[in-house]
Amino acid sequence: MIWELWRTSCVEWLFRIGAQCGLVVWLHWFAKNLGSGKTHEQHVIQGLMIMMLAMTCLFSMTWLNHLDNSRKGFSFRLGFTRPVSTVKLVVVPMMFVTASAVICFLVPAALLGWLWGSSIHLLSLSTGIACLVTCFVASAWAPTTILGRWVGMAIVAMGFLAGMSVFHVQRSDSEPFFLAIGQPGYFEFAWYHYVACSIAAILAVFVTISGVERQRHGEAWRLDMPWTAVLTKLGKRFDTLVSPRQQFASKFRAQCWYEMRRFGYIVLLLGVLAPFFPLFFSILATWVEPNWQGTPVAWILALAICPFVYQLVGAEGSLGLRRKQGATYLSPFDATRAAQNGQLIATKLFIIAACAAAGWLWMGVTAGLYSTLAGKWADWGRIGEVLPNVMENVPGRWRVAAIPTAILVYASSSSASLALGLWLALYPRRIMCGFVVLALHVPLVFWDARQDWALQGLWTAYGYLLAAAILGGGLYIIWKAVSSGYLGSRLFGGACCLWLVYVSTTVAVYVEFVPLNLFPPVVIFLGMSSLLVPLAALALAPLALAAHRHA
Amino acid sequence: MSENVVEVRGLSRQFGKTMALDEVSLDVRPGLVHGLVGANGAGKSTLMKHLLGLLKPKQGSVRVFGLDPVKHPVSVLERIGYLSEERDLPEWMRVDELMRYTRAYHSSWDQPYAEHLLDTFGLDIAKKVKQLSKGMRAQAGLIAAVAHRPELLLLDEPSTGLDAVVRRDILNAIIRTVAEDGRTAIFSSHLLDEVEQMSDHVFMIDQGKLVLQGSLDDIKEGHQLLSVRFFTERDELPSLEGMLSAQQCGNHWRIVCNGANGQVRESLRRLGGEVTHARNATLQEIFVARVGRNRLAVSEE
Repeated sequence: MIWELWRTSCVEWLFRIGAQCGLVVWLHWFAKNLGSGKTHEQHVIQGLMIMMLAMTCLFSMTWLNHLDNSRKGFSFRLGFTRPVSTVKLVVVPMMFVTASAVICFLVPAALLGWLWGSSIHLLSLSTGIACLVTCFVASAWAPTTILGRWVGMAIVAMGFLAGMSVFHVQRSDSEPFFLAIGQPGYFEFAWYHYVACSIAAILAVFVTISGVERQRHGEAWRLDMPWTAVLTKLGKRFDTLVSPRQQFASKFRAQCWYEMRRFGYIVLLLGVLAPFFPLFFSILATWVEPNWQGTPVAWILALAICPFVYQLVGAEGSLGLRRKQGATYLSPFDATRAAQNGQLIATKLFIIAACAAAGWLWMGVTAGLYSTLAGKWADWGRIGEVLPNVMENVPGRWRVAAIPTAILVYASSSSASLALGLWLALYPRRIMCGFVVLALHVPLVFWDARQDWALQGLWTAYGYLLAAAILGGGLYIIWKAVSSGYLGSRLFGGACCLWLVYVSTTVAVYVEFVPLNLFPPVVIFLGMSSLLVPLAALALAPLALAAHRHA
Repeated sequence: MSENVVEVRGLSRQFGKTMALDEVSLDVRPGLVHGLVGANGAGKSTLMKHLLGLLKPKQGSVRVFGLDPVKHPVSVLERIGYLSEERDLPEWMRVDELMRYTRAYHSSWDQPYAEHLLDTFGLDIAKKVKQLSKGMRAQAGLIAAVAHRPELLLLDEPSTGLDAVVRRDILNAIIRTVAEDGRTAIFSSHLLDEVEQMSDHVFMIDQGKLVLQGSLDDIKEGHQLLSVRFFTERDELPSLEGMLSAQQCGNHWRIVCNGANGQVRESLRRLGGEVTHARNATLQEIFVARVGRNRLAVSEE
């Protein structure tokens, strides 16, 4: 069993430990170069690092994989038919998951302590992490329903927060939490802390053994609470509501319905719930500071960010990939639809955009309603004055062109996210290596900035290379998608029309407002080549889908 | 349009170091039921996936209705009905939703036929796919695959999960109906009695190679099972031309040969053997002789 667990998780283990150690070293170097030698700042950075290391270890993929909601209950059900007792079947993987989380924390944390020359209480922190991971795993494996799993995890999370609060209050530190946790002696446990952690972990193990024992013999804990019946009823009502009542008039409508059921309603639900964040923030801020005037800023920020959040969630949901025996694949049901790759992608992009637009409008409506009901319109005064003036200076043709431009930019960025998700499933290592190479340039940039741009020749060469890569790569992607039939001529024609509007608008805006002689030739060349990006990005997703669909 | 429904020429496919398909060439003629047989991992599903455009040929070509299924998925897939080996259907869909959704993709959908099949199988249309048993899923998938009366029906291991009654009566009836309408069916299976019962034409694949193809009758007539008795005990037989496999039971040998069995008989006589019984080999015997452990490395005609 231990070999099986090791075999399936060793790569992730090594990657995580390596990445976290690399991050610790990089942050140490970065903090030193920024001249952050003060103890106070050092404590803040160290505290944040400890929190980050602990959190990432808690949610290690080793057990997150076992939280796949399509499989309820215990993750190692194959073991039910093995001649192994339930106690062993539960305790071995549980201990393995816990130990792996602790080691993933210990190695980078020890490195952090060594580099910063401070003593971190590794034993107490490891005990806390082991206890928490055991409780989380218990909450994931013992219940047999998704609702039960989430309720269990929420209880553990709340228990953790309550425990941390009590611990912090007990220490009677005058400093705020995030400053205090970086101090050397903060996580020093008393004997009763260790006892409490041990009791919680042992309890979690017993609960899991008991729950898995029932699952092994086809029984389950049932919580027939009133809300279970209500949720079941609501689920049935929802199914009836969204079920098609008559035949679909076209393939497009059928596919829209399919994608909507698969991920669209999740984006819509997110869109309905998202305004509650700025709403609560505004209410809370006004409650704490009655004269707070930041309401418009909070809502404008929410309005600016939310379309991209919906886009990311939508792109992730629309991938439609399945995992089986370690392989990720597009289901044959999806792959054998009588539709071009371009049509399938266009439907996904349409649903993402439609749901995001609905969510964005709802955010705007909520902002308006809140401002009206809370009497906050006065705070919008300055923005209300500035905005019409700005709009007056924008020529009418540009206002018209803004709509297709916005559609193109949103669709192409959604397409790029979709393509990245699809390719990431096929070539995770190559793409991660690419990101690492890119990330390695960040310290180089900082270093070069301190050397008064000694490597200017390198950056200029990079600029030309990037521009050439965008042009060459972009044209190749478009040619490949069109010539192989993955992107139909009608869809490509439509995309080209939008792109022409985008290019003419962008060029016109730059010519009107930005004096080109301000920029070196490399920037102009890069800027001009990047005009191709939205069109190439649109062709990217059909190609990525083809990589799965036609292997 | 080409006369053949499917034309595969020199198709090869390699997954890592494994040769899944090796220079496969075949033609599928319309109006017949074609059985695709082979051991597990022989390359049956890989071939099917190429026909559906789910794998792009790395070497060789695939034409379905004279079209490249990768370049023309709409024209090809509209005319194909496919049941995957994994019975892969969206779990959240209800049976009636599955039918409506599939119908949107096929203008030739025959609603009365779909309803007839739903009645025959006794499927509850209000049930979600995740509530169906394995067999019921196979039935739902089968209805979705055949209700638009496809010109080409591709069934990947259709018997898996179906009980004996459904397999014998309904699957046979469906596949026969397809063929009698002048349409074509290709189904892969390792249940050889089933293939023998339903197919007009057989493709036999072994380790990615097409080792045998032809009409079932021709194949069976072209292969003989000879029971041979030797008067002196022999531990082994030399390779004889036309002999595919030889299995020893004491002084008796069971030999499967093809083509020139007269020549084999003569060679056996010269070795001191007497043919005590001869009959046409069954598909199972031919399959075992061609791909089993007892096959001989002999030159074939």
